[in-house]
Amino acid sequence: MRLLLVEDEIDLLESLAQALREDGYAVDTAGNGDDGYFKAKTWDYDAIILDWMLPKLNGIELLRRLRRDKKTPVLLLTAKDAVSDRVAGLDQGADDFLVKPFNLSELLARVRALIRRSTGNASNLIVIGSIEINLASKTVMDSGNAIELTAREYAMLELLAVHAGKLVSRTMIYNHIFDEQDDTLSNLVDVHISHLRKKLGRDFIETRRGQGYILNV
Amino acid sequence: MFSVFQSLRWRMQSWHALILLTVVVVFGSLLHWEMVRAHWDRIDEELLGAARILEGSMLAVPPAILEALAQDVTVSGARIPRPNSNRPWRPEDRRPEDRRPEDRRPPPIGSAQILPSRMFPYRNWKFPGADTQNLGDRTEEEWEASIQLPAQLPEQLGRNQGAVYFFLWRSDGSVLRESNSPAQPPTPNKEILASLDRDRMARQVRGPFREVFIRGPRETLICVGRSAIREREKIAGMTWTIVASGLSVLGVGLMGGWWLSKRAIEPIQRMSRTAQGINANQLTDRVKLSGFDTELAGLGATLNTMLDRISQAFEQQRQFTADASHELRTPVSIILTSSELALSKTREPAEYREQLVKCKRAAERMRQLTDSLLTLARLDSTTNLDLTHVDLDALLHDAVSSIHSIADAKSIQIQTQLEHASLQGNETLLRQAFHNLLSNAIKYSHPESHIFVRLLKSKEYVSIEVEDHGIGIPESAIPKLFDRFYRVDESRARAEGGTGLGLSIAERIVHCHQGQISVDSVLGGGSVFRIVLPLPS
Repeated sequence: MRLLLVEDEIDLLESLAQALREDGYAVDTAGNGDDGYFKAKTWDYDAIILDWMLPKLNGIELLRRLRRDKKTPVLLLTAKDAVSDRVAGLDQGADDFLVKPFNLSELLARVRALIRRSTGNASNLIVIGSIEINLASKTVMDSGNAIELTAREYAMLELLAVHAGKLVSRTMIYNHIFDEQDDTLSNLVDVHISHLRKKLGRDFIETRRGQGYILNV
Repeated sequence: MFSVFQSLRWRMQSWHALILLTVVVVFGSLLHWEMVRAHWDRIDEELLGAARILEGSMLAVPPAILEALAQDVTVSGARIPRPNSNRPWRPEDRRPEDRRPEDRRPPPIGSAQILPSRMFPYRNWKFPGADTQNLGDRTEEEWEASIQLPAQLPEQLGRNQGAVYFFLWRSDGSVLRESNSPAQPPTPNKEILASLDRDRMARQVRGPFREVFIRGPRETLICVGRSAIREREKIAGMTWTIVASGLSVLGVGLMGGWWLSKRAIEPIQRMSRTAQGINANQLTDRVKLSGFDTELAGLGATLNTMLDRISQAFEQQRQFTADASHELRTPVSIILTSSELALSKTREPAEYREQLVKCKRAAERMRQLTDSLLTLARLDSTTNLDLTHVDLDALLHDAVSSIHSIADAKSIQIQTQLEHASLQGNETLLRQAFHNLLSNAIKYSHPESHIFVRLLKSKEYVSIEVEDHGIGIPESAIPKLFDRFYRVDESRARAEGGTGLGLSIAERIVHCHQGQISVDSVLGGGSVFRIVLPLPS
């Protein structure tokens, strides 16, 4: 899952980005409203974490412009806690609202919930055949046995699983699993897919030649 | 507890009632007194006139003259001699063109209509020769017998005002003549005699009678009196009229006052109701001014202006609190996020270090912010500064030296031109104000540029200028420059580590020293901040 984090406090931006990456997300960052708007418009993020008070283009204005052509879920971060501010934020198209200072675990939970809702899943547990994927604890079980996956492998499995039954193209995988910091060597989708097949069974992931991959329900 | 004496309306009404009552009582009493006096004066004047006529007839003054006296000089065109003439009047006194044949033959006594006139000053009238009545070759008895009193006098007076009587006493107190007397004849007592020694007349009220005494010729005493019952009844009637009209004026006045006070109080109550509805959460309401009189509209307008100011102050306070909390939330967020991140799993020491550095930076920022907020709060609540003798040039020199290291880091040169000036001020605060201006100048200067610090002194003022050649300030930002938490460029100011309070603090400090702070700036060319402080005269 790939996120965009727009925050002008550089220390906060770095720590949040690191925390999100450690939680398995691909994270792009922007230090001001203009950059944030550009990235948000260019890529299809799974969610955007947006600070309200931003130099150049404030969060609300960014959101208003973005909503003209993108439905990306947005979590608005702000130090403003008045009810009228929350209402204004939500009315401008934010999907959730988190007041500074916040707990990291709450932010992560809200991001999870935001993505889950946007993909149409009601619970954090996805079951495909004998495989159970827990989105909250990021663990995978096969008939009750835990399966060890690397972060990258899990991210890929999660992407395929939330779109289970639908074709997931290689471009989509590139766009959602890797962020702007990843180097090209780690972008070997085929290698991660073959590792996943080894751990979950050969037929679990079907290859559509020239189109992409699909998880059959 | 509600007390009627605390109600403005009741107090107004009470005062109104008191004043109205006083006015009515005083006015009524004066009217009554004047009326009674006028009545008695008229009676006395009549009685005195009658007594004078009696005196005149005892002096054998011709009836025509008595008549002329009574008719107030103009009846027959005769002119009465001046009262102070000291010889008896004679018909020859008439001007030749006024002389008439009948002057030589006086008409018989009693034939004239001898009614005393109210116009004539009987009180001071004195028949010429009245005091030195000479009997000639006549005896006392012959004189007494010769007295012819006007027969119709009592009847005329009586017809006018009821039964009139008179008495003539000899000097030894025996009765010389008397008319039909009332039941009890009057006795001239000591007071009357003493009064007659002082004055030309004496008067007394005896039961229902009013009596006037004068001295007649040859030590005689003349008394004329009559019943005053009808006048008294009249006066009593008029007294009741005055009391009744006074009471009705009082009643109408009180009702009118009650109505007026209601009308006067009502808009105030309306205003009060509006004001009650206005509180900290509802400061937008205003007193409606239409339909108020000028004075109350003025009060309402004053109230509205006050509300404007209060709501502005509230808004500023709210904005300040929101800004302050916002400024504090961000470093708290950094500390929370970094520490949670660091603690989420076991890490390399370098990673812990990285997060700790962020936490420390955030804490430093919070300290700086809370220090600034505290300084502002103190400046806002302080009315008296601790004043000492301050050498401004030395202080500025210190401030420049202490900031040199920061300036050197950007290769900025600070040049000073300081005249000597000193005043009574708070050294710590002034140092902080100078420091804030200097650190601002360094923050927004281009590297390797110059900053000029000048201290100029005139007779009454000292002016401190800090001139930089940095990025300058856009004109639109200048009015808000000294507002709390205002930053021309959010991100830049943050990156430079400012709290957004430095200039506000400098401004407050300068204001606490009765000074002015101002700025001239050219966008892209640099700024000049100028502090002007008054010198002790």
